[in-house]
Amino acid sequence: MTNRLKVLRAERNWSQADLAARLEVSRQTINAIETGKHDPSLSLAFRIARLFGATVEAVFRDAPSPPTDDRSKTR
Amino acid sequence: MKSNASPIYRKYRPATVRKLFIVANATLWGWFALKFFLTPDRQLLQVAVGALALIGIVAAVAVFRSDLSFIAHAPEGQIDEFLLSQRNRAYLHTMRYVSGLLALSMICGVFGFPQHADVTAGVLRNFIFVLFITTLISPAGFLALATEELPEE
Repeated sequence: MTNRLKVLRAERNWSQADLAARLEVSRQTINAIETGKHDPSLSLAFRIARLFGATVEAVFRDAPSPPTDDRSKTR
Repeated sequence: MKSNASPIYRKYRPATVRKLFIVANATLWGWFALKFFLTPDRQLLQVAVGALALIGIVAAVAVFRSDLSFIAHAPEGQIDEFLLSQRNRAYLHTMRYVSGLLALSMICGVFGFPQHADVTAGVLRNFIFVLFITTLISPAGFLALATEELPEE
């Protein structure tokens, strides 16, 4: 999963600590989400989206899946 | 995370907790092994072995008082989902580490290693003591091993 957390945070001039305080989570959590090491739960994803006044889809995007060996195309 | 609100826990860098955890393990298990193999007539060495235990205990107390130890022992409501998942992983590593140590001691017991060793009540007491301290500090230690330094903002 990819996200626009860093961009949205930068637009508002918020530090990771500021965002963490607003969401009542640790700075480690914000850093882990931004670097893609942690996918937030649905409830946290909704809280993040609500804080930025956006939809969950606008903040988080499903990472493109790696290309598969689709044999039907070659036949 | 509300560790800063508690005077018990001190904010250490993960790298510091990592070093303290390694020192505590090395010195305490070293103390146990040396005490097991040392003969009582070597007085001077006995004092050095005692100093090793002291260093181990001081390092273990420092790990136990770190803010990572707060994460390891905090009620679920006080830490967020990411820290909770990190903690779960740390407890899994602790379980593997401690059961590995127990398995090793059992294997030694079954195969009678070391030969002609006298496993007295005192030796067992020392083993349980070191295992207890190790178990107590391992969750914070494994959290420290998994925690990266946060970049400056």
